Amino acid sequence: MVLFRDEKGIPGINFLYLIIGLVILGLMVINIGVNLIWLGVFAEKLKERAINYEIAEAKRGAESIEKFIEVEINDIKKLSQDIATVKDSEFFIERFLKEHPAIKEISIINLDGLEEKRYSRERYFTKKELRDFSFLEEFEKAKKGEVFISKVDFTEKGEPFIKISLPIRKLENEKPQAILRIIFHLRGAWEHVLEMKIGKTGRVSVIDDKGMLIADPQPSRVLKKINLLTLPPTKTLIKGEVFEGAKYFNEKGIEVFGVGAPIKNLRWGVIVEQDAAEVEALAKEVAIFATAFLIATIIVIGLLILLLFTLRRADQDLIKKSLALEKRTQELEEAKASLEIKVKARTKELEELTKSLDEQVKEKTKELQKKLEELEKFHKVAIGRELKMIELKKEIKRLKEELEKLKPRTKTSE
Amino acid sequence: MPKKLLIALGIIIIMIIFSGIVWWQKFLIKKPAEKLKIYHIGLLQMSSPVNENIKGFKMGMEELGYKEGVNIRYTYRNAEGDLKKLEQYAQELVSLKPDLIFVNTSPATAAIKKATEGTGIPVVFSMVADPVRAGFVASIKSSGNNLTGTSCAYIDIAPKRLALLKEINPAIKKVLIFYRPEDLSGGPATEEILKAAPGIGVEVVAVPISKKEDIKNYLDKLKPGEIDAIMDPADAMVNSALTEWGIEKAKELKVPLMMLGRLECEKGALACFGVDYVDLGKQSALIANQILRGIAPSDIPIEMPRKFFFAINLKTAKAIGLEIPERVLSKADLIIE
Repeated sequence: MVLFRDEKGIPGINFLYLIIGLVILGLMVINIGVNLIWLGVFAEKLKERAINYEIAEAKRGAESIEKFIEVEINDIKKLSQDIATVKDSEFFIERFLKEHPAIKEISIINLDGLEEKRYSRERYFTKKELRDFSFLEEFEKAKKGEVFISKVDFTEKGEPFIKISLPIRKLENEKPQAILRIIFHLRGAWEHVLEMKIGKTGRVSVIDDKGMLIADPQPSRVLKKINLLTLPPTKTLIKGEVFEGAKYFNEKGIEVFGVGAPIKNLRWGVIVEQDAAEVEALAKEVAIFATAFLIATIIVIGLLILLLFTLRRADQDLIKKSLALEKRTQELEEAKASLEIKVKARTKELEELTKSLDEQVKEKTKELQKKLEELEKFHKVAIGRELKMIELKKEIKRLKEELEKLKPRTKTSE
Repeated sequence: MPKKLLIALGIIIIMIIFSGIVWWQKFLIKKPAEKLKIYHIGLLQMSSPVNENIKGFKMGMEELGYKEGVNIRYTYRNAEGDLKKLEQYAQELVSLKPDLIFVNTSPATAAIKKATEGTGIPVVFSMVADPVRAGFVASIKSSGNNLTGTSCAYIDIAPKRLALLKEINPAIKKVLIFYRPEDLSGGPATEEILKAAPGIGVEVVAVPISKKEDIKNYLDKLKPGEIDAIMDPADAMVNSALTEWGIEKAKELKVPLMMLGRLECEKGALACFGVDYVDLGKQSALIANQILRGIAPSDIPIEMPRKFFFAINLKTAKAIGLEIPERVLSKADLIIE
């Protein structure tokens, strides 16, 4: 810490820079940390939400199929009781067929296993078309008082259906009077399930208790009798459990997120698959955003640190220059002081000299005054003499002239 | 130097912040929905009696989220029984390159199959009695081409219709049927009726015809007591002729007339038993939806009708002096009183 204190022990500018630097670094760490955690959690939540939605849809589909079939089976059970109690069973059967379009055929089988009557809303059966069921499991079970539900089968026209056989009797504990056999077409049950819209790539399919695909938006797949037992959701669904979701490759080799919900009573299952790319698209977008955000944060913080260093360097230059200036100023002041002393001395000398000169001037002036006075006196004297001289000269000249005038007359006389 | 650096740094920071804001906005603001694709569907039908099938198709499409004028538009052509017009309309629709063509009845399907050959335009047909026998598809499970759709099962239900006629009036002994041997629906249906007739206990008088007027001419000559009932096997031309002349003639002869659709029954035919046109249209819409979602027509098996429709016209029954048994009435989906 000594490094960050000046000579007097007070924290200096470097200390300030250290604090600012630490604050920036701290903010950067917090920023990155928070964003990574938040965005990471957010991305995970998005994925989770997509999977939960798939599960909800699978459950909805399963419940819908279960309910549809349950309602139909209950109605069939009621019909079996009605037939046992009324004389004109044909009336009930015809009305039942009209009200239940999914029920395509109803047969009355006697306890020997022979079909006595065969009803259909759209088909006419001749007596030749009545069959013997005595050797079939469905008849045996129904005769024992059980409700037999077959596995899903397909008509020659590719229509999925199940066969339901049950005893005709007034009460549960009674001996069956005959057997009621129903052909139940399943397309009605599938339709709204298969039309479910789950994203762009979501697909709902139904499997039976053996893992066979029994309903799919692409019916040709069903007709190919594909077994989906190898798919992760299938085994869980057969056990009657919800498959919570996993990423796997479907039979087409596409990576998908699959979930599943069981149709418990029938041990069938509804599988919802959605391309993994679509499920993860939003999460990926968030991850890209988070990465970009982090890069931008690092750049900004890097720039701030660079700015800090630049400022520090600029500050150091300034300090150096300031010190040099201070030194020069000091030197200048010293030089000024020395100069001032010298000037003062010189001034004093000059003053003294001036004083001496003044005195000398005064003396000389005095002397000159005296001499002048003398001169003036002399002048006066001299001028007087001169004037006398001039006058004398003038007298002399006059006298000479007068003399001259006298001389020439004498000569002429000769 | 520091001043210039500061300015440069300032600009960089502003740019980063600005681009960050832009990106954040882009991320936060809900992306505008992708430009809604407007599907173009061609609709072709042979004649008006099957209008309800087209109506059902449109209803089905709407139930599936295709709103007319919003994300779907239709180009509709009705040949009104004119085979030449039918071919012309088929060519015209194909030239418009729609996303899908919905067509009903066998003649219209035949025309559209020919017109779409090599174009790859998917076709959903409806009201086709036997698409395999008609040569429209390779098999019920897979067409093997650009066609798929719903069958009206008219051939399958033909014996049942005869049986119902007998139930309506057990006294019926002789039933008159007109048919075109070459018709892909009426021809085979007549065969089935003829096969089932002895078991039902009736004699069928099957009259082959080649044009609509043959029916009129036959009916004009028909005298009371010569036949006990008239039935349309499932031929579009026969249906059209019987609707035009047969309903009145049956009333005149006081014999039951068994037709196929609700419309004919409403017009005065005693009974009709056939597919529910509206429901079959809706069922076809489900197939169209699968195709628009990217499934190839050859991957979608041909579907049989989910619902059949039975109607009785009690006014006509009264007019011909017939009392309809209660059991028969209980089977009816519609009783016109």
